[in-house]
Amino acid sequence: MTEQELEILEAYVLGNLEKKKSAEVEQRLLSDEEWQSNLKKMEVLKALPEKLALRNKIKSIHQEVLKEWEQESPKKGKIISWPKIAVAGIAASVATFIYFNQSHITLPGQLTMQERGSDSNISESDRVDFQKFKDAQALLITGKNQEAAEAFAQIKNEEHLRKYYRDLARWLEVVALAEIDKPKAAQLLREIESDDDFKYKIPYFDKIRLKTRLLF
Amino acid sequence: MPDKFVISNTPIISMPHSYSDSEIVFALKKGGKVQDDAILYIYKKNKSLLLSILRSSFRNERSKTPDDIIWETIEVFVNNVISEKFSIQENKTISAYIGKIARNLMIKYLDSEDARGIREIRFGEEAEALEDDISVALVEQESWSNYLEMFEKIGKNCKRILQMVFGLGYSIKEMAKELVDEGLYENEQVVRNAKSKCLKNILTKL
Repeated sequence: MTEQELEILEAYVLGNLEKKKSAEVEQRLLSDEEWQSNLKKMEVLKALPEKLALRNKIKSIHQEVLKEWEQESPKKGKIISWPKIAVAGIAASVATFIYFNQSHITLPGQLTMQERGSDSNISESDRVDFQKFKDAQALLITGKNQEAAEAFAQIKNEEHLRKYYRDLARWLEVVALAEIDKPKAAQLLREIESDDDFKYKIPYFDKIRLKTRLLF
Repeated sequence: MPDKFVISNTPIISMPHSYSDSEIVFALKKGGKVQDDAILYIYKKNKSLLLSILRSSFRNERSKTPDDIIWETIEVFVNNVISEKFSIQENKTISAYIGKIARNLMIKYLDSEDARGIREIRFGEEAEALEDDISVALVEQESWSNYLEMFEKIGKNCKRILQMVFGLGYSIKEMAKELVDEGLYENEQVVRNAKSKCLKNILTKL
C-alpha cells in the first residue's frame, strides 16, 4: 500500500473519513487482501493504548493490594517483592488518572518524563528529577494533596528543568490545591491561563473538570 | 457503590460494602473510578484463592511468577466482562469463574514451560483439559500480550506518536504542536514523516 493509501485507511479506522470516502474504502476492503490485513492491524493498534492502560491500572491496584496483604501478615514472612511490577505502576502509561469526585484528571506527563532517556543514557540528575516527579504524582494519586502541592511547587521552580515539565508541575500543583486550598488553586490557574508561553497542553475536559471542582 | 476509594500506602484499603456479581459486571463495564473499585473488590473477595497462588511452588523458578498469574487472571476476567464474553449465569459465580481462569492460566503456563510433571503434581487429573470459553480467552490474552510487547519495543518516540494518534485521537497538527514545543521534533513535517515511518514499522511487526 502506498503512504497515501495508508493514511486513508488510518482515517477510516479513526472515523475521520466523510461518508463517500468511507464507502470507497469499504468497497476496496471487499476485494483487497492487503487492505483487509492492514485494517485488522490498525484496529489492533487502535485498541492497544486502552489495553495498555487497563493492564497498567490492574497492575497498579495489584501492587497496592499485595502491599496491604503483606502488611496484614508480617509474621508469615514477606509475601512479595516484585520490582518489575513496582516500576510498571504509576509511571508506565499515558492513560493514568487521578480521581476527583466523580470525574478524573489525566496525568499525561509521566510517560514523557520517563522517556527523557532510557536507562542507558539518562543522567543521574535527570533520574533524580524524574524520581521527584514520580514521587509527587504518587502523592497526588494517593490523595496526599498537601504534600503533592508542596512537591510540585518545588519542582516548578527547578530552573534546570525544561519549561514543559515545570509547567506540567504548575498544573498538577493546581490540581492538588483544588482539594485543599481553592482560592490559591484558582489564583494559580489564572496565572497559568494568562501565561502565553505555557508549554503543557492541558486537556480541555480536565480544565473544565477542575474549574467545576473549584466552584463547589 | 462506594463513595470514595483512594489507593493509599497506609493503612490501606477498606471496602465500604459488598458488591453483587451483577454490580461487579456493571462497574467493570462502566470504567473509570467505579471500575477501579470493582477490581479492588475482586481482589478482596478472592483473597484466599489469590494468596494460594502467591504461595504456589513455582514462584521463584520461572520467568513468570505467581504474581503475574494473579494480575493476568484479573485482566482476562475484566477483558471478558468488557467484551461481553462473560455473562452472569445462575450456576456460575464470578469467584468460581476467576478460580477457573487462574487454574487454566497456570496450566497453560506450566505447559508452555514444558513442566508437565509439576502441573500434574499441583493440579492432578481434573485439570487435564482447558475449559473452552476460558481457553479462548487465554488465547486472546496471549495475542494481546504479544501485541503489547511489540508495541513496547517499537521505540519510545514511535510508541508515543502512535498512542497520540490511535489512542488519544490527536491530529497531526495537535501532535506536532506538543512534540515540537517539547523539542522532540523540529517541525510538523518531521513529525508527519516520523508518524508515517512508525506506522509502517508497527504494521510490519503486528
